[in-house]
Amino acid sequence: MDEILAVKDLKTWFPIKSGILQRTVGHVKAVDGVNFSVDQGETFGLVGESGSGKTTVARSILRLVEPTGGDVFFEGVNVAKAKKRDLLKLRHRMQIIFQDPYASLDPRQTVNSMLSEAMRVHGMAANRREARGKALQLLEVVGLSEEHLYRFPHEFSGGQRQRIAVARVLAVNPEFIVLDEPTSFLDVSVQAQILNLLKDLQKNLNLTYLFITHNLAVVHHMSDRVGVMYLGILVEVAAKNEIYDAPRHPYTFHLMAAIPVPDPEVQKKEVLLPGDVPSPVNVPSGCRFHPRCPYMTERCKREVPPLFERTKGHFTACHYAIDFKSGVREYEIDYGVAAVKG
Amino acid sequence: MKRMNVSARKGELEARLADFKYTLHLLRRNPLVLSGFMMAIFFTVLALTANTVVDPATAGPPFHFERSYMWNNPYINWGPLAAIYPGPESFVLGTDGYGRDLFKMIILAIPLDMYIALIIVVGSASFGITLGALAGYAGGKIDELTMRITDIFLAFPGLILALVFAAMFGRTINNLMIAVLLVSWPGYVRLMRGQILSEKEKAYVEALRALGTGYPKTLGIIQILLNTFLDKLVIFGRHLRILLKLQYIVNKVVGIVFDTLVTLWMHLRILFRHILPNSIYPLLVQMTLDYGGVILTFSALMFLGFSPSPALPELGNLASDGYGHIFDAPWLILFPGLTILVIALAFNLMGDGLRDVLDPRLRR
Amino acid sequence: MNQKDLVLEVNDLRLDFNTYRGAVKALNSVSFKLYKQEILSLVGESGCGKSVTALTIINLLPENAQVIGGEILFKRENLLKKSTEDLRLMRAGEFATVFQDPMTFLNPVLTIGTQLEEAFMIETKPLKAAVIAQKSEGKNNISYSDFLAMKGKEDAILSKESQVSGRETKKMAKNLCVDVLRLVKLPDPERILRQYPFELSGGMRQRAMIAMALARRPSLFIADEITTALDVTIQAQILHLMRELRDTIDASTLMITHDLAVAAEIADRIAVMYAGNVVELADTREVFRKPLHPYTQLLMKAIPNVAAPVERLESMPGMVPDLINPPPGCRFHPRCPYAMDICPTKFPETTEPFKEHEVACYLY
Repeated sequence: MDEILAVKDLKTWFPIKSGILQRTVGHVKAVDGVNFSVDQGETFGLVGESGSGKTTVARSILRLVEPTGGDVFFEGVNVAKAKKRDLLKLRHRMQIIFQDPYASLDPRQTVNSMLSEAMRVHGMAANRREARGKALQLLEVVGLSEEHLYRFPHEFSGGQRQRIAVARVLAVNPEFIVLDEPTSFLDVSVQAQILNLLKDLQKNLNLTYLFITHNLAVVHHMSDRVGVMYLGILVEVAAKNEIYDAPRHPYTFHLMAAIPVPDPEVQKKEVLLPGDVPSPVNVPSGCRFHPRCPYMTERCKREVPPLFERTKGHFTACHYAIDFKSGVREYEIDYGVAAVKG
Repeated sequence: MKRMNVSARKGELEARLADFKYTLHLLRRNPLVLSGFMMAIFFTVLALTANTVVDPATAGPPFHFERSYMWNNPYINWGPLAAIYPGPESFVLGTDGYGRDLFKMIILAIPLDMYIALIIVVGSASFGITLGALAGYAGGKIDELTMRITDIFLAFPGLILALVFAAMFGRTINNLMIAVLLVSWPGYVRLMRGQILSEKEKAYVEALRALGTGYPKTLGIIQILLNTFLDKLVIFGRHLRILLKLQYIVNKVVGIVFDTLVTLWMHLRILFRHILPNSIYPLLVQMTLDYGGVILTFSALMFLGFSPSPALPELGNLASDGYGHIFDAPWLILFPGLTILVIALAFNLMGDGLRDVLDPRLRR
Repeated sequence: MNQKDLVLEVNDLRLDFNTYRGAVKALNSVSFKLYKQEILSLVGESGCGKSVTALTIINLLPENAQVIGGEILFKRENLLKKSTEDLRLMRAGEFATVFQDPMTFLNPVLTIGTQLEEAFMIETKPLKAAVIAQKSEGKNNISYSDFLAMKGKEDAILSKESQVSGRETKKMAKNLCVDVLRLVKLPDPERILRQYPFELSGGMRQRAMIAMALARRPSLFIADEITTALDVTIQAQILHLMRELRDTIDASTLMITHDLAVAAEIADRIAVMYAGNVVELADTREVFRKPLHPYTQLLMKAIPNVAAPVERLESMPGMVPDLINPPPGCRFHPRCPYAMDICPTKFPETTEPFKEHEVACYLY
């Protein structure tokens, strides 16, 4: 399977300005060195809590936000450094579906207008009639009908609006879609419908997804591989089952332990993470997780652990190998001569 | 294909009809707003038909000074100081200083005032909205600069400016209009900028950017043409090294120019086609409210003596004439003043109701 | 469950919202019982009426809401028959509610300390009693649990002694603030009291809200989607806190959530709601082990479960019904895979096919 997206050392910092002269006093390091790659046809799940930077990663990849550093290779082209006029040709192949279906559609545009505009920009339809014909087809694909064609967004429910957003994205024939919390504002039953729709589309159209969410159950259902972000960096990347069943990083472990399971029979050990989700303005020294980590040592305060491939395909950014059941730090990681990065 | 069209259109029609009914319902709920609407419509119609209702020739010479400042409407008694017109004609609202029927003069004055106010409001709003939209969207230094200039204009005292204009450029209606316009536009800039600032953060704007909205096709064509031209040029003069260098430089420059143009075009398109229409509702309300205010301002200026001709049928001008005769001909200042009041009130009330009715999101 | 322990009983509650488009039949017939010191979770999707039920209990409904039937028995008294003033006093003393978004429910310009103190100072009588108790028992400080234990005995304590100064009352309130913040596991309570809401994180704000709710020593604690806006690890902390509090404080909790997993974690009993009705009500274990109502069954299949992954989530056909024109009879029948002819005729009676497991469906 080929690699369709490769993110290398992506950094996105936002300057903090203060004072009358608006001098830059610091930076919000929303994304601070992220490495991962996505194969074609797979779904890569990106999880993290608020402040982890996952949303900014998505926007940086699509260049809706200018990255401060690093590269994003999409099918060989470096999106992060491409010229603006070349960017448009790339745009239609990498699309995004947003979180809030109530805000992501222009309230003054009818469905037809939205879809036609998308098609016209990228030359997918020659004239109005062709655009409308294609729009009708798209509506059918996402589960809506022709009577919805001339309606305004406020006349639809949340689930329907997300379907329209999907249709708009499909109108430009993308290959890669970033899904930024597409179902977090939707009811459970509607969420199930949308997730099924997304899965079907992926199969039929051979799409690649970057699925961003804080809902760990959903990402487990949808993804093939998962990356866990904390405070601007990836702390663990692995195949879905390994992340959930055998996490290596303490943060991942606590994250998984915190998921409420809809089954009262499952007796979960009470594992609570102390403290609050930190802010990316003051990043702790060394390993960013050390102030909250129950297993931290002096080395954790000083040295930044690299994202290291301990076993094939499973990357972890931690100095130690920990047995979470017994809570014992087993051994220290020796990175060897060359620390392999994501 | 045709059958599909019909069904979709029918659904749309039903939806629009339901929307319209809801609008009417909203209007019906508030009787003040409704009366404002009715009055505004009435005055607009009156303004448009005034010249057929009243013969405009009566506004000009010959004047009948023997009838000036006289009253003969039996229904109101102004007291002993008022002079009674002995003749056969009936003057519903009395006569003015030139012996003309005040009622007819007021009718002729209404279209003038309303038309002037319309030009001022539309003019200042258009300018202010455009400037505010650009400033709000651009942000940064452009925003700062625009707002500081706006602040300066906001501080201008309107009356003083009109005075200066009149003294320097003559007492014409045009000059007065320009003066009032110059002090009206800053308010719109402020309002529009605020709206744009909040609207541009919304998700659909980002979605439009992600879609790649607004790549100018013509630019692409120009780009291709320019490149082919340069290529041909190089081939033609391949012995001349300078030409190669020239091509290189031109390519670079063209590249930068095109980049900026492309982004600029995208931003402008998103701003004016998507963001602006969604943020304009409070400004439409403001324009209606301002309309009344502008009428007041303009007639006040005329009242103060800036009118080009003393016999001009204009509400403030008529009132100015009556100022010297408050006790013996009070109708001359009263009725033009009342007319100004009612027109301004009508549009104020209408503006209030407009807010509820217009914004598609607030209606739910 | 002992009848003596019954704190809240809702019987056949019906509620309409009167809107322009017609009456929204938000609550069709809601019935459930809440016992002492238990956590009952109302689970359902948006529009099912769970929040509306809670608001009806504490009488915080918008103006166009109209209760058209049923009764709410709180400690044997029908709340629907009480006056607005009585209910307001009850809201101050008996009910405590914590909502979803603590940022909008905390006053941003007042410190946490001011707001928390205000919560304590609504009724000075208990504080005065606490001061007297402290003096008479010679303790350094009254803790919150002592304060809790004193509930109901204030009159007896107050009749003995006479004067308690305002300053002493305030000091007692401050002490209790610190102690209750400690109870909700907020680190460094003294500092928190001086901070403003925006200085705290979401989880801390939610704890502060819970502390404010506890200040009223409620008998009924309503938590309306309190963890929905929080991160997963913070949510786990808050749920853990709720479990601890359940044993410490003397209140019954009504936990409203759309997340079945959260309900599984924390509730003793679960009431599943759909379109204005309670369709299933049983112990948490029972509901998950043997879901009876088709809606509950489909709901569970629609949630991705990490412990039991599936290839494709089963989704329910159709959408949540429009409550202005809801389906006749059982409101779920258009989407129900087991729909029978009898379903659209009349809403099914609630039956109890198994011990302590109620369901409203014709299948049983």
